[in-house]
Amino acid sequence: MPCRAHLGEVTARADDFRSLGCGLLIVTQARPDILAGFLARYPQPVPVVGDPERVAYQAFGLERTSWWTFFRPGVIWRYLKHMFHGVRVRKPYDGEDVRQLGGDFILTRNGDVVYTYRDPDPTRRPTVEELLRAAS
Amino acid sequence: MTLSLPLMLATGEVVPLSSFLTTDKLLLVFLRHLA
Repeated sequence: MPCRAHLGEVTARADDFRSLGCGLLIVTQARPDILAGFLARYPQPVPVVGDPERVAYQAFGLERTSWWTFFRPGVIWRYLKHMFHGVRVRKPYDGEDVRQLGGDFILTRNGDVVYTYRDPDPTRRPTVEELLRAAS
Repeated sequence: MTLSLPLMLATGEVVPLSSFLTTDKLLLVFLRHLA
């Protein structure tokens, strides 16, 4: 749920990133068939790819969280805040590991990583403003 | 190694991360899930 909110926030500012010379790439755990169905229902203005074996997730050091994380008061509170803002709770797609954490990275053309944010829990992502500052 | 990471398009085609690096920088957003 917070991921869909983050996806919407980042893609809504895709032109701002492009004006800084920064492209966007969304990486998901989705298998191609799941991804194709998702993109047919919710077309995106930036490329979206799948990494069902989570090879890239591991390469970027993104970890799986514990089940206990979902019961932390702060995590529950942030989920509730998303729900209050109208973000719907949806069942994960087949094959998605709900314990897998996400993250945001900015790479240069030669592959150097100049910005790193690994989600500390399922509800926290960097703000778009922070990402734009990092991309500038 | 990072630039050669294999990623799958919705068509099932596997492409390396480097193929998306067409600009000076690239913001990679890893989602937990699509739901």
